[in-house]
Amino acid sequence: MDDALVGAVVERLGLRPLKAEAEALLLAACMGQNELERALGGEVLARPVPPDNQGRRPELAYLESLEVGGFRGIGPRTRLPLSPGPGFTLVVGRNGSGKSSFAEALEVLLTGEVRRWAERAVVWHEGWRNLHHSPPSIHLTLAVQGAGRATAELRWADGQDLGDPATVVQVAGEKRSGLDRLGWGEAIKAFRPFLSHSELEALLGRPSELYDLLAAVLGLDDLAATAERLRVAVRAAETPLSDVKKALGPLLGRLRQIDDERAAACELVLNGRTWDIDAAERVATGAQPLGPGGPREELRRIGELRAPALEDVVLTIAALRDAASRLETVTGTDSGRALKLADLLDAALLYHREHGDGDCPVCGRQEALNPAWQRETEQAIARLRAEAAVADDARQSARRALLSSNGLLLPEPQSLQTDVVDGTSKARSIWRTWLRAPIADDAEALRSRADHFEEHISALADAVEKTGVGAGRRQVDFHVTVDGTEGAALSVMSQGEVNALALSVFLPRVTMPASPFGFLIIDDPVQAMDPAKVEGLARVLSDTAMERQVIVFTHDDRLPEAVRRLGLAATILEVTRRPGSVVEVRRALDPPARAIEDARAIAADRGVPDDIGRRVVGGLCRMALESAFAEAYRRTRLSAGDEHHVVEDRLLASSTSLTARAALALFGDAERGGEVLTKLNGWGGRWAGDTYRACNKGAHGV
Amino acid sequence: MTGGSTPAALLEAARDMCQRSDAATAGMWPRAAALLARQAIEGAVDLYWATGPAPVLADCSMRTQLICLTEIAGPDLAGIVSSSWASLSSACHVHPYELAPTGSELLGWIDAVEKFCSTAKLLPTSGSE
Repeated sequence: MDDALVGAVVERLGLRPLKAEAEALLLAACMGQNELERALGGEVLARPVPPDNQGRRPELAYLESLEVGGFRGIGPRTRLPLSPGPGFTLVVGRNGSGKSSFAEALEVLLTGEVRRWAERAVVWHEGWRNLHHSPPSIHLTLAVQGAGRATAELRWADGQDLGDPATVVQVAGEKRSGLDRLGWGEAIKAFRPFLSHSELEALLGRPSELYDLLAAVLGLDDLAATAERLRVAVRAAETPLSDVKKALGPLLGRLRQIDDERAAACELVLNGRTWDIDAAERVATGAQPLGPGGPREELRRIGELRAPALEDVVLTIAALRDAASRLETVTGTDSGRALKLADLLDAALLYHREHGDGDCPVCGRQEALNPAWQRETEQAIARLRAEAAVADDARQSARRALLSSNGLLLPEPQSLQTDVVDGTSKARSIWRTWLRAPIADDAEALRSRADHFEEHISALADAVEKTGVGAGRRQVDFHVTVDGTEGAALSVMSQGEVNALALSVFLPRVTMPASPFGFLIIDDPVQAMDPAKVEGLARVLSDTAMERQVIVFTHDDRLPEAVRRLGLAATILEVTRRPGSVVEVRRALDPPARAIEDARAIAADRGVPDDIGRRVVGGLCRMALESAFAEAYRRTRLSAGDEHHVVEDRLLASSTSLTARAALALFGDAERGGEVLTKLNGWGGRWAGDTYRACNKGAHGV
Repeated sequence: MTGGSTPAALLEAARDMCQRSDAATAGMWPRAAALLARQAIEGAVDLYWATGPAPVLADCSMRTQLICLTEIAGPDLAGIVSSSWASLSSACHVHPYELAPTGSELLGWIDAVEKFCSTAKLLPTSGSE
């Protein structure tokens, strides 16, 4: 078991200690089968010390750049520049601009498919080539700690399938090889560093899948293996116990037959759930159950419940009926009387043999004892003895059948007492009915017992199986409280909250120390989230970005705006698309700086006619001022605690007039437009006011 | 207001910005094209007033002009202009959370303006449809 996991178990034991023996056995089981056996043998093993460090980490890989051509929305080969190392990168682009094509290209390169299409119809798979440009190619440059730079390139010829590219991987200083060189086959499955929006939804849609995804990574398998070891040990220790239990039935039967008060007392103390072994010397102790209980233990016991086996029941029923019919044939005969009579006649025969023919010694009849009488008597004796034997036999077998049918009447299992799984209460009541079988040992009771079993066995088997299945279902439960009332998370949360929950489950999985991926890619997490939640998301991603390379694709400005406003360090790349699938990627500065940069570019471009240039530059300059005012206003109001939507509404209302916007930023009141010029002049001199006025006019063409 | 270029020339320049791949305008062409296209609409509507019913309307606010346009030129024609102008206007401002328009959106608005121009017979006769 993983060191970290053992450390977690030790920590847990610190909070909820068990008896010293139990703890020692539990820790031994965690460490392995050998250790468990040694501990069971009585050896005292050293208690494991929780590790101080995080354990061994694999070398991390970061993305340096991604070039994609002829794939999905990207036509001519376009490069997405990334900086290898921990950090936060946002790739922003409208729907259809080609930004998701980059994410999908990376997914195809590393996993061979795009999961989003995997479950859809064939037509989704067929459109993966770009319509305007051929051939498709994906080229990835990685920086791997300790190994240097590595490149991976995929190319497709005409007609090749998506899953069939020519792959070349080259690690610095080595020969070319295939994708296996990166050694990420297993890691991709366990720590999958891609998450698209549809996967986020699916993550919480199928509970058994979510369980599988989490179990592999949380080491639940190790825990399950430890539990299994303990269970096997328990079973081995319990075998003597169950053997004893089997011997107990007949023992109790014999005790009942002995007409002695000591036997009755013994039967009393042995017939309950607990055995008073001090009072009954001949009974062995049962082993204490090992290991902690808890809901998982209960579930497992419920899952292992078995109704009496059908073949056993059938055999028992047949035996009972058989015994009943034999009893019936011998009713009316009295084996005791027959035996006594036979004995008497035996004694008479003996007398006859010794003293010869003569009168009957009992009633005095003349010449009663003669050879004819002797023959008759011998036959009578044989008949009587046979009768007696048959009657005895029938009674014995009736009693035997009754006792062995007791074996079907297992006491109500403890695991059914609590309503852990659906159907336990029903199973409980069915079990109780089962136990109410008639007990006497005469023929009628035996028959009705057989009927009782026949009637109830199928209901019992069904109920037990249903609870067993329920206990074995794999699922993950999220519990929430809403205003103090508990509920199941998935049914009460809105879509945006569900997405946030999925992300909160996904992020830790990807950033586990054992993962070799230094990067993680999230496609469009912001859908359905409102601005306040987006802010939270920006913070979480920024925190994650301190240790990993976080690359987020998004289709509107909410996340970049939050990042800018919070002052988080991030690189923002903008993706735009021209006709012919020409995709452009450029770094985004904050909007005012960007607008000014663009204005400069146009102004410097000789190819643009003067008039056109003037119009565009004028408009861009106004946009620069607008967005600068907006940012200033937003910063002030949001840090003063105003709500997002209030701030945005005010900004929206002032968007048609630069004066209103300026007044909002300078004075907090859009109505004071008349004072703007004065304020600006006072702040910077006349040039400020003049520039402002020029920009205001310029947007409409000077 | 117009100062130099005709609406047709502006539209031409806007379309060119959208379609031609030019490294100099990389990434910023959406906003630049939106600016030009909006000025083209405003110029076209001004021309409409100048050649027709009420030249003095050209001095009023765009909102007033568009309302009058609905009355005078009919709802169909005015509808094209109004919606294109509103969208282009929005693209010319930096609105919270909004990114620049895509190429296809811009071309759609440019086409709408050209349709207005040709229907209102504002384009030069040679080369118009």
